[in-house]
Amino acid sequence: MSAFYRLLARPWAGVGVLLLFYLGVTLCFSLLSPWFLSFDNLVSIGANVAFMGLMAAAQTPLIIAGGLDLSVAAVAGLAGVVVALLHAGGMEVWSAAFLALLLGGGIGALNGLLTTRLGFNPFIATLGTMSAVGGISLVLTGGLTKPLLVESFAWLGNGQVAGLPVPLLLMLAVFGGLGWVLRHTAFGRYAYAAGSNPVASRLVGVPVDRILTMLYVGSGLSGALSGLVLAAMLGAGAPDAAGKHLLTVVAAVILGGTSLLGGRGSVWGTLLAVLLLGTLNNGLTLLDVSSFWQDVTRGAVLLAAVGLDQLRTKALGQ
Amino acid sequence: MAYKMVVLILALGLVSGAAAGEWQGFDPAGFDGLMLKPEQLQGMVAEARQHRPPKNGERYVFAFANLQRDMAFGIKVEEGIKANAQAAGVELLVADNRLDGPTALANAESFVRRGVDFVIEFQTDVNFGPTIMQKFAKAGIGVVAIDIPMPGATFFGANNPRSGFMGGAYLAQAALARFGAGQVGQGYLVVGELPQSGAIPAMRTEGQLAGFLAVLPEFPRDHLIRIDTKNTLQYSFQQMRNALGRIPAGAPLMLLAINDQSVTGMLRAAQQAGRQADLIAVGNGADELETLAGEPALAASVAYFPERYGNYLIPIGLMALAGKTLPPAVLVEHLMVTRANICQYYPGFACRDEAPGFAYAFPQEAFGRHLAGLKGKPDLAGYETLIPGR
Repeated sequence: MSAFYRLLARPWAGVGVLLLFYLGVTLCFSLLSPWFLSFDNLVSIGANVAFMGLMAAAQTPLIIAGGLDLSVAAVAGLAGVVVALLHAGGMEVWSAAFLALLLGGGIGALNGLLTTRLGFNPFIATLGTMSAVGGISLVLTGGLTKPLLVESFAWLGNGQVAGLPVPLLLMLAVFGGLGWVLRHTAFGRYAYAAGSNPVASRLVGVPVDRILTMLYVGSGLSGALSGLVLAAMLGAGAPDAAGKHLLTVVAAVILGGTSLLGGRGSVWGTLLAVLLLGTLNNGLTLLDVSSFWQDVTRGAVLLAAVGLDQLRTKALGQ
Repeated sequence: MAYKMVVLILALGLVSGAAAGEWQGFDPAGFDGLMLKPEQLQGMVAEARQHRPPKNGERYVFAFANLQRDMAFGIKVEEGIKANAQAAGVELLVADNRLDGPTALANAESFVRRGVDFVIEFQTDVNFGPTIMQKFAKAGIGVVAIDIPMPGATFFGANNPRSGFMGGAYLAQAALARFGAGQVGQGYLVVGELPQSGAIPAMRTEGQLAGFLAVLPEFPRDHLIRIDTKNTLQYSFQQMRNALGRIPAGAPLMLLAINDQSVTGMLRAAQQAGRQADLIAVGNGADELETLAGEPALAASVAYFPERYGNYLIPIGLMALAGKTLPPAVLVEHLMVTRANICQYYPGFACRDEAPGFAYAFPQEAFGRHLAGLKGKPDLAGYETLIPGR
């Protein structure tokens, strides 16, 4: 085996390859655009991707454990709508936000019930809840955007702590927390085991269904939190605020090295992938690249990154 | 088949001896947009029945394929059509094209199967137009197409070049009044576009730019930034935030976009970047009324009155069924709506005593030159009827 393959076979190589790729992209944009490498711009990238990052963060352990949640972006839209409508109806905004979080967790629990107790395929079950939840948002709003301009609540979307945007800090906190749970707790080890081989895991006493249900609840909560951040950023609850980003969220998880078949992956890879996608979007916009070419470039970079990951998988096989 | 085609052509009135013009008090080319009285609409139905009775023998069935039923514009268009259909005693079937060509085609097939008498088609994918029209033509169904032209259908919708030009000129004049000539030249103009929808909607954003430059011809071209809004609040917000990285702090920031939702997303991004003091925007559509009424940085929006579209569309359909000649394109009259005059058009909103600080003047001569330029553009070949004469 060549030295290159030996390097790729190291446990940290997946995240390492993505990090190198990210640094390469960052270097390119820094050389090509005079506006790219500024503190404000880099922070803006982080804040821009935070709502996607929140969804992708919770989706990662769920996919590792063998689940999948396609309803997460629809939950985000519903959460924003619920806060806007409850507040417009006279409820204190943070109480409304708390209810929206509970609703997100509840939809996650429903997904867990459908997939574990009733044995529905996760793809079909969450596709169904995605459609139903998206439809409810439209029914509640009549398809219209609902303004939510509340100064205290807007802090969640555009406030700063120590010079860093709140959404970015929130996203990093969620990634940090999940990273710790996956690495240092029995729950994390169970999640990997459940995704690797659920039958064997059950035989050795791993509570696979409970783990999956809890992860679905986590995904629902992350969707609702993401929706709250978006509503605070945009000053409005929009029924389809996050819907167009569902594929990006799933792409980020896979690009980050998580296997759709379960059992393999890390939240740090997902974080890097989210940042990579956000950086591409930002850099290409700063370079005034037409949106059509942005799509082409984004696709090419994604293919290149996944190609490198394939090489790593091959190295692991050898 | 040949018989059906002849019936269709007659129904559309394309070879009818009747001259285009007023019918039952309705003149599509000079209509004020206010809803006709129910008696007028019912009179139209009665006359149309004599020329072409309803297919089901009882009452006319119209079909409306909405662009997307979860956006403000589409909802308002639908409500207007429903109100007019009800007043006329016409049954209305509604489908959602979901901004998707194949869905629009499936809906068209469903309308054909259900034997409708007339179709109001609002779909986004210009490439699906010929196939959809083929289905309707084969079934002998007349069609009016909203905003996106379809071959053989009467076009109804925005006067894109004019609405854009109005908004761009308004923004430039408002910016001059607010920042002064010296400062405006240091500023940046960001235009939120929708490139994937093709040349017709692009006439709007190109019109915005041309209107702005008609007032400020010396505006530095490298201070002009175009972003793709993808027609959503969130994506406009994100792209605007990316673009802000290129704009120095303190520079006047002037925003235009293809619609109000996009300009709202762009406004929010600029506000969150602390640019509120340097910010001025003009929207397009006047369909996000709460934002227009409450957002000081949004100086105005060009109104389309989508809620009045039905006031044109149902009479147009009845006119076609009555065998009257229709013009190839019926364009909406646009107006600037501001916080000072919003109550005149939308009584649910109070007017504010806010003088704009300038007397808005539409640069008619420059607009004429802009139109002349459009007529020679290769990507608009075949759509010349959609370029207004004034």
